[in-house]
Amino acid sequence: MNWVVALPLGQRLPVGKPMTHKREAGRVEDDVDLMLRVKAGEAEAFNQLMEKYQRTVVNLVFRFTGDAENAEDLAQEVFLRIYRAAPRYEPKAKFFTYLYQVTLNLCRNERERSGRRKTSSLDSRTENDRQWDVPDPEGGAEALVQRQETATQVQAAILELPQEQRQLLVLQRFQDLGYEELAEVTSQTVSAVKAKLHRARLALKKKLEPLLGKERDQ
Amino acid sequence: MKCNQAQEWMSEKLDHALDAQRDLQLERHLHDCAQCQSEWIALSQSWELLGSLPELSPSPLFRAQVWEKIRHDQAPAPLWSLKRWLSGLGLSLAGLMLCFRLTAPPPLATPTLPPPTPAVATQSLAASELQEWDASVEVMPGLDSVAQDDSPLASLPLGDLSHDYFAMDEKLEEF
Repeated sequence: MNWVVALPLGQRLPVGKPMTHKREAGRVEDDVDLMLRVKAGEAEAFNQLMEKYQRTVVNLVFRFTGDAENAEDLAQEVFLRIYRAAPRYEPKAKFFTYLYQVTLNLCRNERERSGRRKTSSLDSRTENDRQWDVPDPEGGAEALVQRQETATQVQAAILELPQEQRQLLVLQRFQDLGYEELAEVTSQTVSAVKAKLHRARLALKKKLEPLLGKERDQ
Repeated sequence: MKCNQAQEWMSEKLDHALDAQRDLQLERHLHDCAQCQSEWIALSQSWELLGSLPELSPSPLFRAQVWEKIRHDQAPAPLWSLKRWLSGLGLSLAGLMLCFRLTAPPPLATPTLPPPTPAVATQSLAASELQEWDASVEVMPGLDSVAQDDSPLASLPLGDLSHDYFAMDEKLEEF
């Protein structure tokens, strides 16, 4: 008997692919091939890499740092560093592993430099601010406002987590990485990743308890 | 199945990483344990909330801005910059200091003091001779008078200054 969890807004848990084979072999080889072409001096190959990963990197940076205003600037810095290191690039690991490691290092350095966490409330948006892709607003404007408020609280809860837990949650939830890939990106063993991911989820659940209680009441 | 084990498997169930047998065991436990069922609901709801975070869309100028940063990164350094000027000044000063040390005249040799007069030689001089010697010291001949002095004493060779002064008296008597 399968348990169907009644989630907020009538959504169900998505039935996804198993954790072990998240990336297609062809896709991985394309990235390495593109990067090798960048190493050879091909600008168009770098354009293709940016086209493929710019959204991913921008959102990774945003979720790691909580800084929506500077997320794009930091994401550009990630690509700048990759381009700068292209002459020395060796395909020892998958390209997205390399990309995520550069992104994580940059975000870590940025947080140490800024010294404090910044959150950007969705309510403070103006026309010139970053364009948010908010999920389909079922239920009209009121539901949209509620979603925005919920998102702000969830983002704040993530930023309160220790950096290592935050990295694992964000990489697994938004990049759909398997345990092996997570282990490779974070330089840990698979068993360590499993245990830390579980602790990270428990910590997140604890921080979101007020929100979960409100959702259950509704 | 114990609750601790069930809660660990919940995380893997969220990742769809449980095999069929373990998945079935967990579901049976959730059916029987209200606490674990509540825990599972909370865990899956928080996971879903995390996934509901909105995304940012990169601006259309993202790639162009990256290329601009690359161009700026690879641009040659300006001919003049404060940093370069200061480092050049520092090197120049260091070079000047080094040249100064190499071309400076050698330090003057410190004069060596004459060996102390042995106490025995001093004590052997008669008191009258000492007085005579002291009196003669007070009258220091000028350089001109010394140059014009044709006396035998003045014409004595100066090479050997280690001779006995009192033995000179005998030589003078010979003259």
